[in-house]
Amino acid sequence: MKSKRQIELKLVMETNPIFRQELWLSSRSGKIPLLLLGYNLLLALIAVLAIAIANSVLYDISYDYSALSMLFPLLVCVQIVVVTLVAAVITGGSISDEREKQTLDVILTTPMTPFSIAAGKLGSVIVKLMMFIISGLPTLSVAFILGGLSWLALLEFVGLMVILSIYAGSIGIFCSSMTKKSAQATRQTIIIIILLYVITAFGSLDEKNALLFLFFNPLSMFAGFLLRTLDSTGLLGYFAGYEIIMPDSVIRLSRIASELGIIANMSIAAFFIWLSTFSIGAVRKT
Amino acid sequence: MLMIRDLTKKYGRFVAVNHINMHVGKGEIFGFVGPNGAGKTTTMRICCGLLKATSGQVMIDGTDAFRARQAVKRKIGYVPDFFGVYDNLKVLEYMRFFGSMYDIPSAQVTEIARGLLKLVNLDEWEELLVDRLSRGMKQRLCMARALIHNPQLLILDEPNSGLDPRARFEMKEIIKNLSSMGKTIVISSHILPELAEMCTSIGVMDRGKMIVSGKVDDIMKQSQFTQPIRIRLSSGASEAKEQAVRLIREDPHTEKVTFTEEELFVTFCGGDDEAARLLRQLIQKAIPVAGFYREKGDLESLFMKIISTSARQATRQKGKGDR
Repeated sequence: MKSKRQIELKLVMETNPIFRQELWLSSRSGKIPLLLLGYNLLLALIAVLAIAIANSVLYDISYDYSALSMLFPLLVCVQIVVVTLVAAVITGGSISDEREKQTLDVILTTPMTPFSIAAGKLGSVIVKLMMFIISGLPTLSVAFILGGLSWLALLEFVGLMVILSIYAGSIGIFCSSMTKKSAQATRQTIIIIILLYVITAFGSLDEKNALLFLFFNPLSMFAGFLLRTLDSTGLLGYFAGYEIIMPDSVIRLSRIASELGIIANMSIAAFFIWLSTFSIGAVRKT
Repeated sequence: MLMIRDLTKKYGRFVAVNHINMHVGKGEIFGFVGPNGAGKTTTMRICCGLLKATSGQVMIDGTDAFRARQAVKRKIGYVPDFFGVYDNLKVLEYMRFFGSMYDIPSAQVTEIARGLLKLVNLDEWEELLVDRLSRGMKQRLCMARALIHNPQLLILDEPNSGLDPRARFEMKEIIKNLSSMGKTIVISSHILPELAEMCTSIGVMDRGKMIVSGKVDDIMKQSQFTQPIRIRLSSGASEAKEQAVRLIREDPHTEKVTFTEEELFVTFCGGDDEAARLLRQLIQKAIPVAGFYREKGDLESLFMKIISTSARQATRQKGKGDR
């Protein structure tokens, strides 16, 4: 039997007016198409540069298409950075704009709960970020076609990017709910995400709690994913310059680490959404 | 419909709303009057669930507004003093958006929205973007939005502020129309003559306290407000006029007497009984009274009197405290 919160979450995505209205308004605004254009131009530039480099290698020494597979880890890193930044930019004004325009008060006098407002906003952010992830897939597919990457790896990548979107989006919504200015919220989101990356990275240097800190770092999910993908395509050895055979136990461990990382990062996202509902708060003290 | 008991709201040591009590019956139009910072908006926001009260109770149609907040939200419609817009949203879409928040089926919401837009004379503009509307139109749209779920209680926080006379007139007509439809309306405004015309009862707030509340006429009587008397004498009775002026000036409730050829204008602070006694005295002295009419005092003067009395009392209390 579904819990009340599960039912509410389902309703949020199906009938949440905030979710639908956000997407409706975005479709009329030029902001998202412009960002998408910029993002795809950046990906295309990287791909063209990589192909140009591969071509120069081809004429000089040998014929090796796997050099193009460098594109995959490079594009993964670019997508992580871009999705994080875009999440910060599009969530910056999600609640603060409503507060600035004084429309939030009116919404709060309706049966909409702070949770449904935050969830509706987050849902729309995820959909918008999905546009970025999906629109980047053709460029990624260059590496996919030429470098022997599997469909499964591509799907796993999309899944991890969705997790990253939820993670960055929830932090963005929290920051937006705390301030009246969207630019300030964007700055705060970027600072908090960088701090979380840095603190958890430094924390992982502590031998006793290394794993705990690593789980809470979204990059560790991608690190495990890249390790497995590069190993399966033989690119790990290509980059190292000698053959590397990863033991199965290490691969299994990296998979478990990614799964635990997903749980840890989803917990952080849930925590920030929970904090946002307090900040949006139907009943405020001031 | 609305019952407020001992409501208090504090911000640290500052008391924004100080133990206020009020009652608004079904179908009434209650006017909230008071200077800026008196606590009107705070009280209204507490009633809407936007602010948490420090203590006290708010009952809306028999439901505790603090305990059953979700249920109460379906009973009230709120129009804030500032109208925020969503860029790129059309008038009808704006209405549909809020309608969907109240779980009104999409098949019905368009029909309801169109009906309400007609009520506020915006039916011709349903395809226009909201931010293209004039301020008066936006305020009317805000009113229509507040009615989308057919609430029984409407809370309007200065709906006329910043509107031109025509827009104010239109808004007044809409409010009267809603009242005739049986809606209970709580409205705050600084345009007192309009409130006096619309409201069945008023509450005067100052420094977080409800100084006085009730029916407008009752408050006038309670506060011994100077309601002027116009006395018309038969033509050619100049001697009688002098005698009448003397007699009226002797009355302890008379503050001032002015006169023209035809009329005496008496600033009188007594009640109806005292006015009747004065008329009796005039007749007993054989003064040819052709007309005796007590004017209704205006709300603006009443408000000024109440507020200045309240300010004097506050200064006196502060003086005692300092000593």
